[in-house]
Amino acid sequence: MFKIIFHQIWNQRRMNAWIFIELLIVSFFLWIVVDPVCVLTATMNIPSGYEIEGRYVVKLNMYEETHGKYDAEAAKNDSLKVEHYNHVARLIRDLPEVESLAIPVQLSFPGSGNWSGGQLFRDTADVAKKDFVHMQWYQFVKEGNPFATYGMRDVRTGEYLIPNEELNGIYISENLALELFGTADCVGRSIYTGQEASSSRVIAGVFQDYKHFDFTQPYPMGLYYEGEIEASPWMQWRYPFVFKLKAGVDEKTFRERFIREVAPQFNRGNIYFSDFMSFQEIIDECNELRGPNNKIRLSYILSGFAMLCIFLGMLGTFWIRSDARRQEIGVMCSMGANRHRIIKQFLMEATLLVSLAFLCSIPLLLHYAHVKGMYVAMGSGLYPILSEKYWMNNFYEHFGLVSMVTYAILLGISLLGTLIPVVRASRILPADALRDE
Amino acid sequence: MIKLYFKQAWTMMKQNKLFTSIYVAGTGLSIALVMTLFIIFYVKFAPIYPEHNRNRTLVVRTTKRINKANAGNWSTNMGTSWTFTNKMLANLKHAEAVAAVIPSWGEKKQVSRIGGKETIEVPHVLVNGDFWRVFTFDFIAGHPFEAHEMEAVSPVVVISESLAQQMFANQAPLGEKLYLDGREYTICGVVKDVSNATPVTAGDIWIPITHYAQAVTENPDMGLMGTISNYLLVAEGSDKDDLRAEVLDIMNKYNQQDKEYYHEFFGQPDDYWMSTFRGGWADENFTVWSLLHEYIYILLAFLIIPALNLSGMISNRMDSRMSELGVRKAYGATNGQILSQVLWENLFLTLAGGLVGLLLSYLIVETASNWILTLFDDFNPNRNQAMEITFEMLFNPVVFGSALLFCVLLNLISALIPTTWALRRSIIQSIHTKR
Repeated sequence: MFKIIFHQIWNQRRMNAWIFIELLIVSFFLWIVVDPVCVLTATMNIPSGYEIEGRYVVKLNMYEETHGKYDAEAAKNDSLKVEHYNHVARLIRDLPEVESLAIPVQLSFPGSGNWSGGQLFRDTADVAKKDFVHMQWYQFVKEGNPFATYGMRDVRTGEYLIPNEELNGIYISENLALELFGTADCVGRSIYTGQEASSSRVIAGVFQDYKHFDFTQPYPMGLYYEGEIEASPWMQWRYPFVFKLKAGVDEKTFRERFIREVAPQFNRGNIYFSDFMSFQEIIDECNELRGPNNKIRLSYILSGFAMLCIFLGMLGTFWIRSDARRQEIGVMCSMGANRHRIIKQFLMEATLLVSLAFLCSIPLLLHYAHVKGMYVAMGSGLYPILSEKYWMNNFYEHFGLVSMVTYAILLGISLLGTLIPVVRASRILPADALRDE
Repeated sequence: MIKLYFKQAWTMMKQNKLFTSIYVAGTGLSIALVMTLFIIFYVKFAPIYPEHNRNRTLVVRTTKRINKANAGNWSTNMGTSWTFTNKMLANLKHAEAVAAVIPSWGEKKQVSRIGGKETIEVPHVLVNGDFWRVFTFDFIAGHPFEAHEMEAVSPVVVISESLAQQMFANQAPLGEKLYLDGREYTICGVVKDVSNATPVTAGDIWIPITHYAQAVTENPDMGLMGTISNYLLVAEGSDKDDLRAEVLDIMNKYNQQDKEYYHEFFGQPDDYWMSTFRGGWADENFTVWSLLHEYIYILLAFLIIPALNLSGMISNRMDSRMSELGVRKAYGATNGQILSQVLWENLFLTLAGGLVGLLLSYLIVETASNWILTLFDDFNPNRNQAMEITFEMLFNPVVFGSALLFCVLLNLISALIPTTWALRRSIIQSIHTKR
């Protein structure tokens, strides 16, 4: 059967040339647009290192000098501002629906607009050599439990990390521990966050890898307590409140009650309640703002276009071809071939064409992947610390997987385009077909 | 003659319904996507309300502040400071006006009538006096805020027609007061509504930037960084390069006198079209080629892949018309005449596909307007905004002309090679060919 099919393809080489070139170009094009979809989808499915359900962020704001409600006296009273912030923290913590509270510094919560990072040294010798590991940091006010509130788990026990409230301690992610020491078993060891000896901190715990952005791979992270709430002209942007609801709380009812009854109590002096969002809403907005949603949409549109072109191309080619081969189909039927066999032969022909074109595109794709690089979902400006445990970071695994997905899509759509005219042609009666002979 | 070609094409369309359908669908798909791409960029670049001066505008939006002693110590912001606009860019010889804008980016403020209980959330834009000279708003009533109103920090605002309608119904809004951020403002002008598709100028209320302390207060830790986008209108008789050189000269002088930091602007001031591609922050890798090559590849794919599809089909059809072509040649038709006939026939089909594609592209842009206009943006602060597509964005000579041009191009690419190959056969071979 293969011999016959090869003969057919060769005999109709001029007609096949057009669809072959189209398949070749589409293979290349489709691979390029499928790559970001595969990588972004896989990256978004990497465990985030925190939990989303029942987590909320509350933000306060302050009236500016030009605002009609601005209170110049209240603006001068720093202790009143701090007291009010502590009052808001107590109000939230004492709500019957709330399980735990954390007060991050500098928008230290997932998907926030702030990304703060710095250098970390193993020891003083590394400080001298400037041999550092780059990390993102989250800071928290001493009061509160960020691990239970965010759902960050101890890498050893799998339970929420328990803070020991040691001010000089630092909690680090597993990937940061591996970068620094090659092992996650490093609690009690010292590291340096700066070039001075005073910047030494003791590792107080290791938590599971953490993703600040949903669409990037986990980046090495350090988390530490900074002290207490301090008054400043920009404290409204510095200290949001994050809390976790108890299991079983109806979130819709809670949100309504929170806005209606609780939030108005946050307004005092120049401070007023400004924003209330769930982790899920923040992450969705972040994905919309920072491009991954647009990238996926664009890739879907371009893939759809390429697939539709191939569908129409195969449909047209095989429609004309099956019409032109009516006599051959008639002869095959009269010799005892059933419909199934005729359809199979045409589908095999299409499969060979697609496979051949895809194989020919592989060297071009390899060249492209080497020269241009494959898609990497990583925040811009970050140090390329990419773990080998993800297939996206391994060249051949990455290339192979994206190629397989592309080939499967291409073959599927081509066979669909072929099937329609071939089924139609195979329904012809042998007597009708042979009349053309 | 052309009439005859079209007549023949029409007859063949009716005879070969499948060929016609696939041809029109393939062409339509290609034209629809090319035109969608084109409309997206037309809305981004072309002079449309209220940004009719885009072709005469230069933009400075982002800067990077770098420590002179340690280049690794830097910070960047999505705008410049008020000092930069108000002092450094004041009195430019080659600029007619310098607009300072802090767009709303979807942020809303609550406004209400004085004494009224109902509040409305509206997007707001903070602007300086020159904003009204750089951007060409249609004032239905009143006037922009004057320079003295800016300096006196006088509480006046300009509002949109739809907000005026919503707040004051049939009452004349001019001179009326509204309540915003705890203050009373007087309405000094009402302008025709602006679509969110022009995100820099879009809003419902335009407020003097000097009313916002945060926007205009100096922060010594930030240098020239801030939140303001600057739009420089080139003066009559000057060109963009003159203005660009003048601004760069000012920046260089500033960098020389600052002992601790220098500010990098990475090629800015940009032409307006180029500024739309800049992300949120200053990027040293930003070049014309880095932003254009991706679009060129996409455009080529939109043209070449369907063209190959059509070429294959035309090639098959030429095979079935070989004897007809042979007879025409035998009666004296030249290859040029036959080629012209086939191209005209196919152009007829391509135009039919082009029309379908253009309508389809309008449908795509209209139904997916909320996200498709920002589809190519890596940084999308204008997310989740309802984007009104106006008549001038879709129905204009540039869009129609481009659709026609792409049809002709597609027709040439797809029909030329298979037809030329078919015409290489001799009269005898052609007449004897039987499919």
